[in-house]
Amino acid sequence: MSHPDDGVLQELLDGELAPADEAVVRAHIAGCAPCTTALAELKATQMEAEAIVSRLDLDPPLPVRQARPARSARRDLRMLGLAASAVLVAGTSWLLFRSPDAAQRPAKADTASGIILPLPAPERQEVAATTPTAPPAAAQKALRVAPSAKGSGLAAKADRKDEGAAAANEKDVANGARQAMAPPPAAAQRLTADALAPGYTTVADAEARLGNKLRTIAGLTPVSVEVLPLTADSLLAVRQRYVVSGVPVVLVQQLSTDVHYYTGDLKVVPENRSGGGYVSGASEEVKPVIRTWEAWGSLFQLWGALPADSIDALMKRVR
Amino acid sequence: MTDVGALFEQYYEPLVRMLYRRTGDRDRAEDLAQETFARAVEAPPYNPRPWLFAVALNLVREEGRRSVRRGRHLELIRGESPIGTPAPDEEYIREEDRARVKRALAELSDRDREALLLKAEGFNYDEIAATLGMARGAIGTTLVRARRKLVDAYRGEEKRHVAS
Repeated sequence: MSHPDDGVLQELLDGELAPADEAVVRAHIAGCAPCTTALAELKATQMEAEAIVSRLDLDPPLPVRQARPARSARRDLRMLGLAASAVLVAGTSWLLFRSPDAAQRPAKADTASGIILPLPAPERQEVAATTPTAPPAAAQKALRVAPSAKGSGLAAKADRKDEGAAAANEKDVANGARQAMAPPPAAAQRLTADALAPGYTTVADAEARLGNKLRTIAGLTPVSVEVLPLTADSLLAVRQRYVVSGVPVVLVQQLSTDVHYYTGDLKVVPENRSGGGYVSGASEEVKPVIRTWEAWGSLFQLWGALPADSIDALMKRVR
Repeated sequence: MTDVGALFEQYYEPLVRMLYRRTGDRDRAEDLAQETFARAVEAPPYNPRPWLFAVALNLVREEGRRSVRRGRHLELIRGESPIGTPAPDEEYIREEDRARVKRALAELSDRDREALLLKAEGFNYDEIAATLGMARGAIGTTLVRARRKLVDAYRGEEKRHVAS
């Protein structure tokens, strides 16, 4: 055969040649000095290119994902059917959380309306297992339970506000969302130098660092949680990214309302695209709605390319 | 039916990594990855990996085409700008090297770069061809060209860096 070209040699190196072809090519190379050299050069280039590419990696790395249990996978299948309607349906997930008080953090359901993937829910259960102290009974009453996703969940369109407290449904509690007991607060929460280390982390870790002051959108699990580097004044900010009905939503919490405020990169959400865009029926650009407010000694900013009342509903769920 | 949750766990990180290398922008990579999975929810794919990566790369191209693509911007919530803390030397050097790799990658054509990055995520030739809509027979030569270009560009960067 004539000399194989570089493309064929590369296929050989990548193991992509059919066995018969590979045998032929190898036989040729064995008796051909120029081809042997060419092969060696390609190999060297490949290794060098791979080394170069690998220097560009995710640093800090993405948070570690927890394994998803089978039960929530079934629930997610139902969610997939609902999410396809491309309308933000507030609170159609199983929401079961406790009234937050100074000592308490809300429990989080492990599913939500939209593509939320479980991050800390199993962790939180582990934490609960190792910290046997039970929160006071008074704080344990469930604030509300949203209707089952299978049932009337989708009926809860934008008008229907699920903000009113509903009676806790014990049967739903037993059958429905996994509930995670909030860990009791850690002792002596000072913001140390370690606490200020920037980077991606988990909700549980961010809570630990913030002395349990971290606020999240109840019922949703963030896709990523990032501690943001701030000023030398020991200010701490946390950026959580969520996906709600297919739309990125970002919640930033700055742990102070003092003079130095958070200045961060607010990535403008990509424009809506027609034919499968995020907001049903909208074909022009959707600008993000931004809400900024103070609460619990922190400064919050929540934004996403959703209708204002959806963002407001999410805002009310920040606990 | 595809469980998007399982897809997410398996492919989110490789997708973000590939997008990061493709765009040079970590935040943009994560946003695009989220958007890609949003579409997977709407239309769960049968052949997920090529589908996810193809959709993601299409989104990159679409964004690039629209001249109104907005970049980052800083927004002050209130008050003064922060006093930045200087990065330690180590981090600076790492950051410089990353920038060099990004510049070298930028010298490749989009197609060549994408083929290279998909290969880096373990795609075989059939998968690369399916994802990029290329003929399988062209993948070998594409990779050769891409790798040579990258190595030359990176070495060129190094020379410039040393000289300056």
